[in-house]
Amino acid sequence: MMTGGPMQLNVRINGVAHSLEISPGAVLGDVLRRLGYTGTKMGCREGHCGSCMVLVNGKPFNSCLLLAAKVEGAEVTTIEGLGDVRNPHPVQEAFVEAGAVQCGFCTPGMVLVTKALLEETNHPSEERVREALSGNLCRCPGYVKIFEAVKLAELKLAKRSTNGKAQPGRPSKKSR
Amino acid sequence: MPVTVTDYLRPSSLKEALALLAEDPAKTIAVGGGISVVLSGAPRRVRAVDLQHTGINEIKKTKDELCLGAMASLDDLVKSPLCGKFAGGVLCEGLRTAATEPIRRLITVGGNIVQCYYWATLPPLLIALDGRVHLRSVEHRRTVKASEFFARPPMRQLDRGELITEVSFPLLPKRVAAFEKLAKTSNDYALIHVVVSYVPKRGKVSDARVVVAACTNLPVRCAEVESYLEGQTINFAVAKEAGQLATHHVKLRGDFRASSEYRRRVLPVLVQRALLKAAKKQDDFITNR
Ligand SMILES: Cc1cc2nc3c(=O)[nH]c(=O)nc-3n(C[C@H](O)[C@H](O)[C@H](O)COP(=O)(O)OP(=O)(O)OC[C@H]3O[C@@H](n4cnc5c(N)ncnc54)[C@H](O)[C@@H]3O)c2cc1C
Ligand code: FES
Ligand code: FES
Repeated sequence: MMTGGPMQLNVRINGVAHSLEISPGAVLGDVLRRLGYTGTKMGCREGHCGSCMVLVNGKPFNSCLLLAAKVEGAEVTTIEGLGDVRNPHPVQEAFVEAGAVQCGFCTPGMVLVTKALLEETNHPSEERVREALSGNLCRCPGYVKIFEAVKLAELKLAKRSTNGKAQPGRPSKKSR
Repeated sequence: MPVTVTDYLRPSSLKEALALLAEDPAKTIAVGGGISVVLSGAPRRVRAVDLQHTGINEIKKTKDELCLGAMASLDDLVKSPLCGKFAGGVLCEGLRTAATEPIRRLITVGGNIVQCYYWATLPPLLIALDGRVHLRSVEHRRTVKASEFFARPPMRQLDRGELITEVSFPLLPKRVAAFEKLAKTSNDYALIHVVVSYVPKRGKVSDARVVVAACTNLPVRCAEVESYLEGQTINFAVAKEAGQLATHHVKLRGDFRASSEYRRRVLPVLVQRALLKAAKKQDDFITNR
């Protein structure tokens, strides 16, 4: 009893509800890029590089491995959902100020994983930072500046919360 | 993409999932994390049945077993306090070395053991800790010992329309266990896995399990090493001899990641390390009592 053809996917992307027609075997990364969220980079397509990382209900997932059909009802955050040049997110500012960006291909994934990590714990140990970022490869500036950017992001977010500004949006509790 | 998914079905109960699989078992596949569906090289047209909402993701402890639902992810296990306390934490210690954290969020217990790539992390742990695999189809339920389940490729163990619903481990408070992985980076595919476990009896080894994987096509128990260890007190010389014995009795694979010669040189060291680590845990256990 095979029907074939596209299927319906209801998902929130960066806070906006979408009702999409997708191919049943499509991966989330391709669906996002076709919608114009090209900050999600498709590198290896095998789970090795992390450039395709997005947040699903606040947690990092490799969007090249994740069947789009699996995010029905979920909240997906891409790099476009964090901030832009005029209004960057503190984690984005930290990456620029620490010089952790060269070609920028890995940066969306790195920034999103850092955001998720600093929402999980506001003062992660170095071991925890390494574990959380171990699925994200960078071929340009090396990892020292990236780890410095995570530290700087931690300070920026701490300052922001003591200044009474709102914390970046918490992921919804809804499970995938 | 080589696998063409024609329909994507999301049953809301196990019963519904089993019925969907039974309708057309040859053309229907179960989806756990779905990684192999995405990466598979096999050109097929399939109907996908996602098990995400079938309620088989629970991690629970009964009077005498630790039970892991087939849809629990490896990340769920690594972060589970119940798994953390089981067998001195060896399950979490081992699974933490599998892939990266975001990928562990996708890999499911069922998918990991059915696919059973030679580098898979859960299968050798299941064998070394006397695990059992629980299967179900529309018509029947059955339970298979892990050592039997992995004796041939698990995909061939499943009857048509059959699903894994759970794996379980007996609670053996006295068993000590240790895990070793050799890989080029901490989260790369394993070149060798070694898991050892035994019950210490007056300082001596009893009921040993020595499981070797990733350097073999399927995880294997080394019967010769296990009988050599029976009644021994683990020290450097015994652990070294056990390592040497393992290389003589296991057929090692060679592939583009590592040659069989390389694996032959390294395997004894890993067996030795795992045994000494387990013996250290045994000492800590005695001192802390
Ligand atoms: C970069 C990378 C690194 C990795 N490193 C490791 C590693 O170090 N260690 C490790 O163990 N794994 C690792 N993996 C994962 C491993 O390679 C498999 O892809 C994974 O175990 C598949 O799990 P899944 O839940 O996605 O299974 P799926 O892809 O959903 O399913 C796999 C197979 O099992 C069947 N199946 C799924 N669930 C059930 C069920 N409940 N009952 C019956 N059949 C079922 C499916 O039909 C399919 O045939 C890695 C993967 C990647 C991409
Ligand atoms: S593109 Fe997804 S991990 Fe490389
Ligand atoms: S900045 Fe170029 S890959 Fe990281």
